[in-house]
Amino acid sequence: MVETTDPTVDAKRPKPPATFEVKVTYNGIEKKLTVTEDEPVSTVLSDAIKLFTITEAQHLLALFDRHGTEITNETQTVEGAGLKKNDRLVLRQSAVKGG
Amino acid sequence: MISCSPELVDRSVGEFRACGRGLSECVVYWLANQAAPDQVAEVVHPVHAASALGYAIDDGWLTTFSLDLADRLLTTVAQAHTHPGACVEHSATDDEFVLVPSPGFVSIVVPDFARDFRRSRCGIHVLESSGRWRRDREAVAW
Repeated sequence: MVETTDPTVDAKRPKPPATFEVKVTYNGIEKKLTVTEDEPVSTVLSDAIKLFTITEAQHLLALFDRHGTEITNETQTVEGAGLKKNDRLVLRQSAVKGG
Repeated sequence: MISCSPELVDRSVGEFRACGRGLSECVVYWLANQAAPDQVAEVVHPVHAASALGYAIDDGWLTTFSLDLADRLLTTVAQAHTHPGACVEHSATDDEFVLVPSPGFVSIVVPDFARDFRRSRCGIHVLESSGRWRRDREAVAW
């Protein structure tokens, strides 16, 4: 029996979410991180923290885009936050101060 | 242990005095090449707000600085900041809001706004993997 693909059926199948790499920098070290367009930014943040094996002050860490804008809405998806392939993100403390 | 040349130490003290003028806190970061992280190669004076009781780094500057470190293959290995009096212990703010919350990061506290700078009077703190800061005079060769 010859199998044939039904293009109408194939067209109805949902496309898997796209995955791509972004670059995350922490204290000068830059590493690649694979993200999926439908995952929440909170997952990207926690994955970035694990990537650099940061164990302290995790709750104070945030991701910033290269323009310095903090990606604050962690419920947004990667796609919703506008992240694109090869974007550079900075992982750092939201506030740095002393006294 | 990180090593810092007398020239870079002098530069740090110069920044404290020029910026703080004996009246407000100031901070500098010590940078090293990623290939030689034990040797301080540069001193950077960040854009920051300050008062007699504290400092806060400019948010925009932090991102630009972070990207610049990556572009130049540098890394921040220590911070040094002044306190108003003789106390060189880390405050809770110093503990929590440090630039690099990673084990091994060094934080130097300089008393009296660096008016009368002496290495022996400074507090040298190192962040441990436990998250606690320990005093360790041997952490810096300067």
